[in-house]
Amino acid sequence: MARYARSEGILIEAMGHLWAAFCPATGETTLLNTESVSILEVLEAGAADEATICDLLAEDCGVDAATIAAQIEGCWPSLIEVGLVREVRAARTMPG
Amino acid sequence: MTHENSTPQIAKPGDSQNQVSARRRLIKGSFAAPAALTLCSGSALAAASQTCVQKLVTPPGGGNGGVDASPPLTTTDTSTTSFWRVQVYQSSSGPNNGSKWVRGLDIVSRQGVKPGATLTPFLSSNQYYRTNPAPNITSTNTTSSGSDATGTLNGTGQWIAVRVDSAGNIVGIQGIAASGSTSAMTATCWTSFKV
Repeated sequence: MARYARSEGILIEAMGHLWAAFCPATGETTLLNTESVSILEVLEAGAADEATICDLLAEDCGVDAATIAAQIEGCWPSLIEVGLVREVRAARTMPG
Repeated sequence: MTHENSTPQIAKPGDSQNQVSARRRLIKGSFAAPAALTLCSGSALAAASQTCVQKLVTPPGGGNGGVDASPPLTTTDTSTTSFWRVQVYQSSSGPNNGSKWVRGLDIVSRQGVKPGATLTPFLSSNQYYRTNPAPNITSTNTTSSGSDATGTLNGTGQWIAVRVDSAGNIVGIQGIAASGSTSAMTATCWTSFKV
């Protein structure tokens, strides 16, 4: 399963009911909703796979993890594109 | 019942209390699709801004007859790029009734002088340039006879940008018979304005 990590140096600030996130790598500011920022907050502790992220968010909002998984499944390309998240690929093991 | 904070908090890197603020603001019992919208860059907004025209042509102190009072080339002007506008007049009589014209008198008065150079605008003071319809017709009179006559001209309150070459000559009207080699305005938001 794919693992995701939060990009380094991201600055996030609340703007009313939304959030502004600045990514120093791209130099762009992105407007996020609370759900997106929640994912970034989960990832602040370290890279995690989608199941772990969904489990933690399920505890926060009381929605079952499967429902959350369906919601966030399509968000990764946009979060990666704006530079806030990167996909962490597992290191390959060489056959002995 | 919601779990939402009433006051937004600022999330700062390394501040563990604020790091969870978004998670605490999640509404109990629902989870919307995460959304990320990239804000437009300032340069793109500036290029599309209509205030660009005001910045370029609004003269301090108002107009000068049919011509705005932004400074023409003078002996003390060392700039290489200038943007000017002249007023558009509309014919109310004659064979070209309803057509729109630029007065050579306005062009000549905007031409100004440049040290060490003889500047020649594309219109002389007694000529008129039709901008709409069928542009590029030049008249030398304002009578109602002849196919190129302007008829009686009245101010329209509309303006048109003129093209200035690198030497300082006013060489035409922006958007009409434009030539990239002679337009000083092709790289600006002026080019989004048509006759």
